[in-house]
Amino acid sequence: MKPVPVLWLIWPLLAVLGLFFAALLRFADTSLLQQIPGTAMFEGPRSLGNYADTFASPLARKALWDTLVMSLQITGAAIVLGYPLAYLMARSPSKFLRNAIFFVLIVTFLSGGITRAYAWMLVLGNNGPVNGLLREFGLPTVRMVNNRTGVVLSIVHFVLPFFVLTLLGAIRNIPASLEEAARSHGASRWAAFRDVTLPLSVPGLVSASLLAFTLAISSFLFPLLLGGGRVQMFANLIYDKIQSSFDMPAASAMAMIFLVFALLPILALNLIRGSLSRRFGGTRR
Amino acid sequence: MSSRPYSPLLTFAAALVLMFLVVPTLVILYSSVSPSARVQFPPEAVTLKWFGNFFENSQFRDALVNSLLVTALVTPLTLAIAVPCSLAIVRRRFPGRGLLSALALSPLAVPGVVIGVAFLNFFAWTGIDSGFWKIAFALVVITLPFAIRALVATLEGLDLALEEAARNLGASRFQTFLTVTLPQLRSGMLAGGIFVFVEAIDNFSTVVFLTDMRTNVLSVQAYSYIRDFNDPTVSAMAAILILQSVVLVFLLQRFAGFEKVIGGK
Amino acid sequence: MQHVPDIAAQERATALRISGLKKSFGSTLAVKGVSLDLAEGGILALLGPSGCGKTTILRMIAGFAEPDSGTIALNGRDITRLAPEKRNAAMVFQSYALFPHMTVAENVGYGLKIRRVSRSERETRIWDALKLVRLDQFARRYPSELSGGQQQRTALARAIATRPDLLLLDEPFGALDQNLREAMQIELRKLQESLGLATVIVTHDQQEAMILADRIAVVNDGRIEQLSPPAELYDHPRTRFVAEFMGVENILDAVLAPGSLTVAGSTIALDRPPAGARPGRDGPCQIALRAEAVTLGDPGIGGIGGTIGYRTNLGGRVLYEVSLSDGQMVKVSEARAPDLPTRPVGQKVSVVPGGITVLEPAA
Ligand SMILES: Nc1ncnc2c1ncn2[C@@H]1O[C@H](COP(=O)(O)OP(=O)(O)OP(=O)(O)O)[C@@H](O)[C@H]1O
Ligand SMILES: [Mg+2]
Repeated sequence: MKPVPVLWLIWPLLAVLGLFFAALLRFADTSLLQQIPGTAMFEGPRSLGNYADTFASPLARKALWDTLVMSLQITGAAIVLGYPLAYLMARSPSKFLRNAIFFVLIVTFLSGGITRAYAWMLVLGNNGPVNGLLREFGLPTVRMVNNRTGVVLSIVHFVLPFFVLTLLGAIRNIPASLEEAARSHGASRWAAFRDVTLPLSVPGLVSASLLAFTLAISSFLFPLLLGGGRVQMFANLIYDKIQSSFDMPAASAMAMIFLVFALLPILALNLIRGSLSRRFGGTRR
Repeated sequence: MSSRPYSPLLTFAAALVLMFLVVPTLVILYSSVSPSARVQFPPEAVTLKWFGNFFENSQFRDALVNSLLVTALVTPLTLAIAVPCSLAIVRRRFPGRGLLSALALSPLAVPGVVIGVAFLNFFAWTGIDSGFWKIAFALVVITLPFAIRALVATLEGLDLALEEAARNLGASRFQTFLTVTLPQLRSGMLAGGIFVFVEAIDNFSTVVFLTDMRTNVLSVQAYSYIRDFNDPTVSAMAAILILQSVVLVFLLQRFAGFEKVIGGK
Repeated sequence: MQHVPDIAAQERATALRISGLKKSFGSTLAVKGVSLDLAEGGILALLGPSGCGKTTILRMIAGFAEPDSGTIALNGRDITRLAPEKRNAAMVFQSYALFPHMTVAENVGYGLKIRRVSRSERETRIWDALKLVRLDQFARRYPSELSGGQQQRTALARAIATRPDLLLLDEPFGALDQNLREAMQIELRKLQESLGLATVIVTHDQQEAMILADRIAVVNDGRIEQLSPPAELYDHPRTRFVAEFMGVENILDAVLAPGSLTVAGSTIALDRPPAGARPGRDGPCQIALRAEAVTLGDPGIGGIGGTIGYRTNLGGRVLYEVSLSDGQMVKVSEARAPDLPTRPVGQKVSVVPGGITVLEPAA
């Protein structure tokens, strides 16, 4: 008996991907057209006018810049907060501690975006526990919603479990005996980490950071709820465009630009991946 | 202690980060049973009225029903597509295999809003007008990469010798698949299935473009409610979702083991 | 377990002294009170079956596990609770634990770099260490580009490059094939002798322990059952466990009396007390007999009477299984030559034991 032909196995996937890319193509095409004023319809001739308009708009340029800056800040915060957690989880001899961290991470992760966005509205709100505590001690309250603080904080919280779980796998694949070997040859705890585990975790750190950046740059719900209209990330701008004018060609052009920016780091990474694995890879055992 | 590979400072830092992670969840749970929108301590009283509100509000009820229906369709459908193609990606050698696996994961890299706008435009063009089917199809596209990732990771960890042993003992290819391969895929399917399920309930950025008057879903309804009202009904909904995720975590631990999930994520 | 002084230690200073070491993991007692001494330049093997606690002892010496009680002293300095990097005890791991992102030379130089040895001095010492293990050709390679034996030698070079006070090896040859393993064992022994490096090696292979060590500690269930030079361990195991672990073929029930030993109804006269016999401890006991130390004679010459039950030709030797009158069985191994007749199955014989060792009664 012959094995099932590969095509039988993959045709459903091909169908789904086919429709997905058809939608993306149609949408790329739409971005070249013009809205018929006052309707949701659009027509030719094809031009790059919508792209030019987007880049000419100060609002769009600012949103794009802000989105990039915030995504980098969020990625940085995820690295600073997430690395110690992932490291401890990978290396702790206490099964209880490992499971506890994992439980917190995965419950946070699985409880979803809406839940957490709303939770942060409650926590950071002017009537929330943080400001409540400050008031209790007679300190001035801090505005944390409807500004960048709240948006960045909530996205960091959203991204962190993804980051930690991705990095965790990478750190766990580095045998603990390597660090022990370093220590038995005279390296302090810190030196062993710096010389051995840190460099070996770089590929994992890069993919986890990339994931964090991708998630951060696509954020939509968090700026929507915690930005109070004052913090515009690029996704929100696209949404507003559709809500306010139903200008599909303009929105498509903006979304195309956005897509390129979101894919840029992934493409960049693929370019340097070879040299990365040459320098840090080769973990055979 | 000298033999620990980490320092007290690290433990302390990790504890702070853990607190940062749990605080919002605790506040939600707290708020869902507190009488007013104001989160204050000590609590004035404990009430379940927001849960009552949630289930009595017809918009929330309809949205919940729609979300559950969509999920009930999307979760098995996504797995049914993911299992054979993961098998092909891991076990078969065919031209374009690398490209196929890259394309299968590509929706992960596309921002949800972009997918939403693209499908909005595409469905308008093709004339598909059912909110339910639009949402279901978009969710399949979005969740497929999660399922494929989990399954590919599980498949790559399997020992081929087991299947060879089954064939050697007289099982056909198909019998071997059913009796040896599939049971070993259980943990991958569970992990993948849970990610699909959660994403299908929770997705907002794509689905918000595809809902209509007749078909609202939970995430979008929650957003409208938060925008228009200021009471903890959404906390009640969130508390239900948190409890659901705790149940899912125990399922995962029981049937797949935490360790597997990490590999499969 | 009484404290066994190292005979050599009376001439040489003690490098490592362990006393009363205990360690538990949760409710498992992994190490139950271990004491031993290692002289400067000596090499000690911790030998025992899987799970007996060898690795745990070694990890406590290295500082990767903290003892519940007991002390460890290296060159007179108490290191029991010292951080691993401050002990100057270099370890060779079973998996080698070579840093995959460093070349062979960088691996070997790691400990020197950490100790801030100057670059030129470092180069020389890396070179010396690599020459010692005959890896100077491979300095610029990465560990993933080496064979198993070369990786093993790299790990060894890395450990000796810092000139540690103590060399620790955990099953260092476990991953090598038989031929390579034997070659490496001899190489290690020569290296260790020429450097005069106090060494502790963990192994479950008695052959390996015999080749490498000048003293062997047999570990059973978290305790040292016997600590002796290899030959003594081989000839005179003290307990049944050690005897079985050292591959003694015959352990027989016997009755010991002053000047005689009775096995299966036959009494043999002894001109001096057998090894392991203690004054005042006569009566029923167990004795260990190596098959090659036993000879067969015709009935009536004054051995233990029995019948040949089975015979196997092993090239240069013949192995007989002799049934005794009480149902016990004795294995006897005799040299075979073309012109020497072998005994047929069923023949009545007399078993003449040699190298009798009386075992300590089980605790
Ligand atoms: N980290 C640990 N946690 C719990 N139990 C442990 C731990 N390390 C060792 N043990 C237990 O302690 C006992 C001794 O283990 P150890 O690793 O020292 O054995 P070993 O003699 O080196 O065995 P092997 O020859 O198989 O390597 C075993 O019962 C083992 O299960
Ligand atoms: Mg061991």
